[in-house]
Amino acid sequence: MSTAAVPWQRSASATLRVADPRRALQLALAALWLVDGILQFQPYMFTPAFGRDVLAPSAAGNPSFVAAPITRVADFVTRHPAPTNAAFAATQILLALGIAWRPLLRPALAASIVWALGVWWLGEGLGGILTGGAGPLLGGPGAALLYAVLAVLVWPTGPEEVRRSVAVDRLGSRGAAGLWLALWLALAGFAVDATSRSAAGLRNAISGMSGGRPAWLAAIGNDAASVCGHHSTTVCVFVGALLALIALAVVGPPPALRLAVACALITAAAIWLFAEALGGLAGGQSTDPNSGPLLALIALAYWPGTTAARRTAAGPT
Amino acid sequence: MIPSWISDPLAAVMIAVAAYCAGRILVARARHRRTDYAADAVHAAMGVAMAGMLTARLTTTTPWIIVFVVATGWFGVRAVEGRMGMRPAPLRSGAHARHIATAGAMVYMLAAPAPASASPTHTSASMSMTSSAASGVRLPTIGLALIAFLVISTIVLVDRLSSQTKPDDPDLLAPHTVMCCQIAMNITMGYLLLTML
Repeated sequence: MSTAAVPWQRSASATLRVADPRRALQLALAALWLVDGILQFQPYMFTPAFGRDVLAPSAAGNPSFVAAPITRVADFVTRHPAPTNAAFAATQILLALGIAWRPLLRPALAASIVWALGVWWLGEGLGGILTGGAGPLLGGPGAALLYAVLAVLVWPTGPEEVRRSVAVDRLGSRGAAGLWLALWLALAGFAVDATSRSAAGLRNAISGMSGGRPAWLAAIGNDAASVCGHHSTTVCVFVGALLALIALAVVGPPPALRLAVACALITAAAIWLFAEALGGLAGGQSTDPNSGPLLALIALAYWPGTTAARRTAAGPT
Repeated sequence: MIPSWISDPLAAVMIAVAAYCAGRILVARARHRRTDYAADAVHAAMGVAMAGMLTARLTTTTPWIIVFVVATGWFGVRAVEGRMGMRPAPLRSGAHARHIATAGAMVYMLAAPAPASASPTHTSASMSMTSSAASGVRLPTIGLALIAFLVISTIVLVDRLSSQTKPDDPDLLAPHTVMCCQIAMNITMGYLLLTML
């Protein structure tokens, strides 16, 4: 049996393109949209329960100008679950393929920002920021908003080379620092604000994330929920302080930012594993991988001076 | 249960992919063009098997499990031989990993369902999938890992497809179409895996 070289054989230029941090982050964003699209095709989403039990509750507690459109959309989806959900799922898969398909990158990123902000409002009730439910342990301030933030950060800026960091090249030093401060300080504030929640509420919310599968993940979630249930105030204040330190490190020297990015990555991973149960992907009702991976990717956009960036900036060898 | 208006079109796409991959083998021989015969054959088998799963017509899983275990081992041996320089490595390591993972994913999808009452030698995959919510699947962590791999692999393939204007080897038979088939199979496979978990 003879074999031959395959079409997707990588060339040297392709290897360099993979080493482009901005492109890597764009592809990571595309991967998350693809996961969203596949999750949206789950059988549960094609039942009226999706509109009634997933979308409609996000209106609760929000001001009427926020809640009324949510209720209208949820009612419509409940009455027409199959076509609306098919459109949602197809849109998200097309966004993923568009971001990955180089000629369509810019329009796909722009569309993803519009779509993400729409989902943040109509699907997540603005992430609970107006209702006190935006604690970072519970996915606040909404994964959809973070999709939009990441899309802005990875927007192509002309030449492929990354000089300082993906975020600074895109927004400038002050803009990138401002966004970092706003995001992580907001998360810190939401974490502290979550102390007003009842311990039982926090425990139930965390233990409910895993959906019971896989067993080891459910066990981790139950343990984390138990700790949060017994020490909810301590946990929330600790997480809030940690997030505030991460936020403030951006005004420090470059080594402090590097340390802050590393801490942000670890924190995002911990939130995703312990509080969000990897987004409850195996539960059958998850619509996205939740905020953990997005926080990590946003943090990576601030990573300064990577070897890959320097190699890319130096040009092909 | 996957709605039929989703599963039927997906099954049709998988049958088309299988037919195309099988046809590549014949056309490549007839026109003396180059292709990866083993990959094409396994892709054809995957397309048929996934179409059977989607339409609940896959009544016997054991032969399919054997086919894909052999395929996984075959690609694994090729990867090791290529890495050790024991034979010319026609495939890059990324392609080896993709073939191993997709063949392994087929084994997982066929073998992982754990129905409460079914013969161990003649298990209906379709029945297992529709009842997975109640009976569960074995080792769901592996399923999650496979989904992650398939998603990343799909995105990387789309990126490469959009950045290649001309194939590296002009003798290759329709290389871009093969990548499109792989993308379609990856997405369908990821979806099937997710509905099983």
